[in-house]
Amino acid sequence: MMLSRRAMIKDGLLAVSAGMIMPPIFARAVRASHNAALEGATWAQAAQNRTLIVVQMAGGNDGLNTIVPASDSAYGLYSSARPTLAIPQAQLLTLDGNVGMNPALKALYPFWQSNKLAVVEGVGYPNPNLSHFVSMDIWQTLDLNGQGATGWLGKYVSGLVDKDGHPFQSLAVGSALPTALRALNADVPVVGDPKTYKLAADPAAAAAAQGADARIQTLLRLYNTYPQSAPYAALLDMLNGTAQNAVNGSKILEETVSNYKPAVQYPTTNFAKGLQVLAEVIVQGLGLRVGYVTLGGFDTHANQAKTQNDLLTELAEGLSAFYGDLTAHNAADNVVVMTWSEFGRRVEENGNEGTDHGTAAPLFVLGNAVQGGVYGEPSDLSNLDSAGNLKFTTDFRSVYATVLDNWLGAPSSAVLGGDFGDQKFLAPSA
Amino acid sequence: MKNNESTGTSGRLPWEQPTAQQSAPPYAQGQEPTQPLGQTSEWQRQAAAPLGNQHYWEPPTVPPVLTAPPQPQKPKGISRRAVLIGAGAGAVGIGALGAGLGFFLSNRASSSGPANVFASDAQQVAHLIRRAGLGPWPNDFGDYINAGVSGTIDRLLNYSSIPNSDLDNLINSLNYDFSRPEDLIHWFTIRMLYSKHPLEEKMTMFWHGVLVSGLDKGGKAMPPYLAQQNQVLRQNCLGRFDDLIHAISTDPAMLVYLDGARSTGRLPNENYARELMELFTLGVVNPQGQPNYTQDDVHQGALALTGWAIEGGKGVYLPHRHYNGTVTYLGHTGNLGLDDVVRIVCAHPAAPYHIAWRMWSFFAYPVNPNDSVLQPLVDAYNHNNHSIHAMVEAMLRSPDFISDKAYRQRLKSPVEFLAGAIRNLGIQTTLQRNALRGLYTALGQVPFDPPNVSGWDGDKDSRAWLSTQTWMTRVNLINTLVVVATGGATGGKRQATQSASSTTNSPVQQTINQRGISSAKDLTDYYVAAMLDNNITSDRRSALYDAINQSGKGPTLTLAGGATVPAVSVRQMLYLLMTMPEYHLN
Repeated sequence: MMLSRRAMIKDGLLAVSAGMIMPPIFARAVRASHNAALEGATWAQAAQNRTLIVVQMAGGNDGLNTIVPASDSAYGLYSSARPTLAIPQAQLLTLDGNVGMNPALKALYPFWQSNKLAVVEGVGYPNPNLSHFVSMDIWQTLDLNGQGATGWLGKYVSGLVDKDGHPFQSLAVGSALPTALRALNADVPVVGDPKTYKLAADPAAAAAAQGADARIQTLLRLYNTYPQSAPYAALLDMLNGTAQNAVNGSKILEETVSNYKPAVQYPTTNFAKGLQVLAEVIVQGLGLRVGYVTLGGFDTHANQAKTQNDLLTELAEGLSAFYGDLTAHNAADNVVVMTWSEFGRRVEENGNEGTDHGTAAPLFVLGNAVQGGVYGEPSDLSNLDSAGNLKFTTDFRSVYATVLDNWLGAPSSAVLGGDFGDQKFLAPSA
Repeated sequence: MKNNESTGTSGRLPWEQPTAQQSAPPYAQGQEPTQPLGQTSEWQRQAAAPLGNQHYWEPPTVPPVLTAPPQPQKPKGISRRAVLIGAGAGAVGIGALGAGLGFFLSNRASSSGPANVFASDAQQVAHLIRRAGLGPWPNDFGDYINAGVSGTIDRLLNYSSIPNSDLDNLINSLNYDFSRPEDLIHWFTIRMLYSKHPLEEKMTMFWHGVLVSGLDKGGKAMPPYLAQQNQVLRQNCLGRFDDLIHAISTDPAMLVYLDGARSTGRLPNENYARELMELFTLGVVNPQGQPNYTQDDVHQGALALTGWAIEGGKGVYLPHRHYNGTVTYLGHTGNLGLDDVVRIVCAHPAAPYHIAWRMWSFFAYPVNPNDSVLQPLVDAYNHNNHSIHAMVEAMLRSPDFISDKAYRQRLKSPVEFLAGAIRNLGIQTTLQRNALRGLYTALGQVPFDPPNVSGWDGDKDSRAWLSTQTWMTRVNLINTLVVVATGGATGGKRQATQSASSTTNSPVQQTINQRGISSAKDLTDYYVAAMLDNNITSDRRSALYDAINQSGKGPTLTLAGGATVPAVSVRQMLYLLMTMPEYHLN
């Protein structure tokens, strides 16, 4: 992420632009000036303090065992297709007359009861592709051929970066950048562990209490000498941006982490730890607009019941802690969480108490601003495609459009390249 | 170097600190897909586009540019040169081993003496052994340089003639317990660091990223199975593709990872059948963009592949589990079994394109499966009985492989970066095995634990390796390695000093001694040549001179002729050199 001169002035970074080092002392001032800048006339003004957290459930979560058909007729079809995997009707958490929720998600049930959980049913896309990787590409890049170059949020995020130049407008937890956030001209920070997210000094220089930053400044000055005309400019450009972003961000993050105390006990899972990183950034007011975290392992070709049960529990308990933490810090109102998975699974279970790759599935949207309820139509179990998979009823892009238009205040038709409707689980932006 | 004295807190390698880097980043929980992989994304199309002829990088001394392709040369058996070189290399002995940081090899110069890193074709040779290996190691770099470009390709390809007993002895002495993932990861890393057969390690890593199994499934059975699978990949890495696919299809780790061992004629499981075609052999579409298979082929293939199970740690065929009926698979009809499926997919016209695409993108630069640069590899496959060796040789001898289109056009993968940096510096270490996984996690690549069944994104487009997190981890790794290379450091919070004695046997001091380097400038020039092919601009070279010429307190290294240079200044120079953008590139 190259900071524009204007952005640096706005964020008070210019004073330290010589080496692009921001001593910790500046961080608070930067946040203050950033908050002030939020009043300014930038893109998506209405949504400046709103945050979207995207949770990827990687591997293809079995939608039918997440939101389960509950009406007698549909449950009959479901349970006959799932002789070992069907969840007993009596155990389902009641949503409405048509569907119930897997009891492993009980930590999310209070959100349903308080009208803060939207279930969007039957989400998919035309001509479903049963490949994990093609399907993930479609969801993430919007290209129905699976050949997109940039992420659906990347286009949005790159606009933010250019306008504000703030290191943590968007943040992915992990070590690699998710495709959904990939932008051609922006470098989204990726953080694994905030405590190690900083450059170490030479032991002798560190002892001398000087020279630690001097060496990094020298390094970044070197990085800054690489011109666009270099034969491998594309790679270098990325290195430059990454380095700048990392160094800028690490100083801020270091202070953030040391100042932040979680208000709840997070589960010890890595997924929950990732959510805690995002909570830190939100609570500390670093201007996070889009956060991304992945929970993987949903490719349940065998022994699905235990695996999925564990993962859904991890999902629900992690999100519950995250929400509790934000609430205690009075920061929950501006956060909406959206889940997605590349596909659901085959209606009929296979011989290994598992399920093969499928198609349409439900997803969740969660938050104080969300109007709880079931949206979209459950796919019809009596009308499957030739491979025995569900037909989608809700275009995934209509979910994106709802979030973009009604939460992030970004024009969905521009971001998505078309008009895909409104699922109404969020009220239009005021 | 005395282990106890020389590895104080600040001198430890990061993975030697029991508390550092241990916790996996949150995403690491994800056992299955985290990233999609378009085979023909815009990224790849752009990366494959010509980048122009401008030679911005010509430094004042004008090193050779990578334009001269190696002479085509059919290796026939073992060359005499390879035998001679191998015998010489085998003479290097193994010394004592210690826990943690321990020097175990005598730092003897290679049979050919110190490498002439300024040789006219050193740049091409270094490029080849970075791409087809894990980068130059001071002790055998000279052997490759002396062999020349074409001879280097021979030496890389025909490695079985080169004795590897040092490594074998070292591995034996480390008493690995392959029920432990930590041991598995450490074992492969040690091999990549010190094998005399670098292409074997690189090919094994390549196939590991294509024919994927991983630690995220199978529980306690998996680590020993993966050790076994690594041998399957290793033994077949340059053999016949059909043999490799047959072996991996009946490999216990794979039978677990993709559920083949559960799949029966009555209750087939599609997992392996799909990935065998999609990821391992054909790809979703052929180079013309037409689908290679249908969902029905996946299902019928799953039926044909039934009958396999694991007994006594081996894949075995149990006829009663096999589907007893006729299937139609990719246009072939009959009571087909695993042998038939392997034969059919390996003879499928899309297979060589898919493999060549993976191979070229991993070793050279990202391309589309229909790129004309792949045709010689495809032809080699088709004309040599599906020989992987022939494909690899066609790749290494392709003018494009050693051209500016390839040179410094990939970001080093984490294993390339880690192994390459340790090898570049000549550091001899057994590494702490319990902390490597955490380091690899922060670097973005854990051997034996790929993110999902499609392997690592960076293997297809190396830009995926880079994020703010992984960049920072790389830079911090260099910070630690240059401390080790100059003799470690000791000291507490307030005071970090380096003992004078520890510098004496340090890798950098040994380099100075071996090469008779008599000035800080010459030391800098040596490392610029050895690590960056003597190929950086003069202003950046000047920045390195400035760094090493800074005054510094504490221990010193002694130059030929008796002058000294502060260790901290050498570290400053090496740090800048090894964190420069060029050094991240392969």
